[in-house]
Amino acid sequence: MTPLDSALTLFAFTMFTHVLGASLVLGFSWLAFGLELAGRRRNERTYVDSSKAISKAIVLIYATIGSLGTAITVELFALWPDFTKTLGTLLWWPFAFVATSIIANFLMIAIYWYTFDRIGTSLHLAVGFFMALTSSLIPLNFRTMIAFTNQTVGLSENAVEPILLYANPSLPPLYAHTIFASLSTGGFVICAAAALGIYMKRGSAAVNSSLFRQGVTVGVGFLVPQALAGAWYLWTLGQNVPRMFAAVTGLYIQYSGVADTQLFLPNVFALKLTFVGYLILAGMWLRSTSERRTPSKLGIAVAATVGLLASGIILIGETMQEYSHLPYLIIDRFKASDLLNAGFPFSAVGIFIVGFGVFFGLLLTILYVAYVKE
Amino acid sequence: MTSPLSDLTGFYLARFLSAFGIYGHGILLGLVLGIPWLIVASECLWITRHDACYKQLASKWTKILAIIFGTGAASGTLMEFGLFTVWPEFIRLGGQYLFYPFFLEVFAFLSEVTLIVLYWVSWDKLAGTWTHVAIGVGLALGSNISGFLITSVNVFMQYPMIGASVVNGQLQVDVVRAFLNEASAITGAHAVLGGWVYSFGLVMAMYAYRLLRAKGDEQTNWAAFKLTSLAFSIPIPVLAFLGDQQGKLLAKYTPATLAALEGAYNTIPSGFPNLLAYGDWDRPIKGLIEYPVDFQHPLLYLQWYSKIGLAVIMGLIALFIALKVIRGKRISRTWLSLSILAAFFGIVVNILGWYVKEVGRQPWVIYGLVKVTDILSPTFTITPIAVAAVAGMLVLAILGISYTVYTIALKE
Repeated sequence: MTPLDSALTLFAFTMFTHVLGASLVLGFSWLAFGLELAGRRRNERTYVDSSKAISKAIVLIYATIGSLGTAITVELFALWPDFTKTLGTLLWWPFAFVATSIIANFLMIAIYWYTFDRIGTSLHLAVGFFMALTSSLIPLNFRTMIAFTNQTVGLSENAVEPILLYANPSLPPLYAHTIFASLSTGGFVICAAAALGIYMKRGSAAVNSSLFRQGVTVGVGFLVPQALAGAWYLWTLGQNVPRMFAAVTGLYIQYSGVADTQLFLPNVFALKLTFVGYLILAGMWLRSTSERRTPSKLGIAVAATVGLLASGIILIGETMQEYSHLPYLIIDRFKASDLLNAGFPFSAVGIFIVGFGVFFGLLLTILYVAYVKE
Repeated sequence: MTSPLSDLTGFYLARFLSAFGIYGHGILLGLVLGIPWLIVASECLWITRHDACYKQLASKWTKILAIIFGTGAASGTLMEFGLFTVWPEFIRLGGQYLFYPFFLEVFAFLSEVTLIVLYWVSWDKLAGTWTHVAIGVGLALGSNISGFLITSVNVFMQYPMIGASVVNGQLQVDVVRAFLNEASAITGAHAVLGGWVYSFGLVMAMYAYRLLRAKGDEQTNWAAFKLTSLAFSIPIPVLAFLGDQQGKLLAKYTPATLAALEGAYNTIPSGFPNLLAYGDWDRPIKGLIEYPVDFQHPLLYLQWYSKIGLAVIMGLIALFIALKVIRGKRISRTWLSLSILAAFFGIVVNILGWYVKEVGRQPWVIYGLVKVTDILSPTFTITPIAVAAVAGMLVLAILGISYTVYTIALKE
């Protein structure tokens, strides 16, 4: 393994996990708000209780996987200190926005969860709306940075015009894809969790059934716009960043100078499309059977797989985004290998990954204690 | 919009913004260093004495800890991004030379996060068992190790001469020695114990207030007050010792800062400060006038002596109350009021300590090697309105959290 491979592996490991957690928080936030809104309007207590159950999951995910954001920051400046300095210098505008959004989102999540059934309905719904809104603003600014690394729109000399950062052609499809993917994945994961709850007879049966049904509806419902936004993003890359388009699709490689390390990406892309196909079929089947009070064992098994595969799609998407940049960190500007911190102990990357493994072990323990242990 | 490099106001606004963010984060961090130990102690007392009031205390303090920790973690993100955008060269230097403490801190922080959440979610299922206590000890250790490691980075900025040197114009850093040395041990321990004192003091003040206002169950309030007042007093003598050791570090590595703290514009030929600093009554403390202007801080001694004075008063109040508690004597309303004053002094002492440390290093960010002006972003722009907006948001967040904690601690 070269130092660059080690660096990319470590970074990818942390980044992808964090992105998955962030996507779930985003998707869950809109789900929690939507269910509470529907529940209050229709006077359906089950919906409100479902929203409450989701709000607890949001707190758990935000507090744990959200904290990996700190690890990403440390990894960035330890592995690529000059690159990080450049990012901070050029992109301070979205960094400032994202920091503000994170603080606001944290406060909204905490208030939403803590004040459930303790404050007025309208006020709580307003908090829920702002929780969902702020959770959507965080990726807007992170995706602005990612779009900049695709294509340095607005860069002149050593400065960036902030307005032009947001006019990057990659940004709208990338952001739209992120939002729809988060909603879809959130729905499928909720459906899977509810199915397991039904199977293990944990929690309220009515809430589990409601979450199972609503989760799969949201999952399938947003999968279609997610796929469309994905196609839009790919088309935009083809128009503006042919290197990435070629790396992902395997087409026109001869024109784009794709690195050897990216040759696996078209296979990964095919896998992603397969997963999407499965999710559509399985999701529609689950939706059609979800009116039953208790799903069958097969339904529960299928629900578990849609939760896993929807999460897998998020990880695959991030892999495609990060690896299609190679050998660049910022396309045609900064090569990943040139900016690597030579003093970093790359041989210790395995130890760091084991450390993260322990963290995941603790996460599983938390989930077990929170949702399984009686 | 103004560029800080071309405008002194912008430069100071950037410094103000960073200082505000870091202090805000530091105040919350200090609480997370001490409160977990109180929770653990309370749960142990519940298990061993079968007294339900300790269960109630552990439960309440866990809620408070979760809120404070969450806000602290979120404000940490704000601080990280602030460093990214305002001081990008510092991030580059930190990443290049100080990745060990930062990486280790990440793992300590993640342990702390997961164990806090685990402690919380397992409350209904494991509370009152030694397994639950062990989770609490783990989270307390995680928070303390995290605090220690971050302080060790700050120690490198104060004492770079221990692990770094400039060879042919290039900075050479021994990455292990830079953060694992006598200065980091002493200063790190001082910072962590300082966090204990300040957080124990605040919780103690909460219960003193409840007792004074006759709020809640009196027996529980007294149990909490006695536990926290004892915890408050224990680290204070150790802190005094570590503070003395820090003075000796200053004398050894950064004598100009020592002179600034002593207010020695001219050389002090002999005296008690000389004895404390060098163990020799007659060894002179060189005056500030003998150092280059970049190392002079003629007014710093005011804050320093204020800190020492308040710390002594706080320590005396704490020790008197602890003696009364140990002897089983009645604590009068006057002493309850004084305990609130001591807790307030604890916060002020903490802030003054960090103020003296950070301002004492100016204009250097890494003492004697890198100046603050060298790490400022050339593109970052700032206006007083932007600073006011960010500061206002932070103040609102702190007020919101304070109100929530107040509600839990004093009203529930």
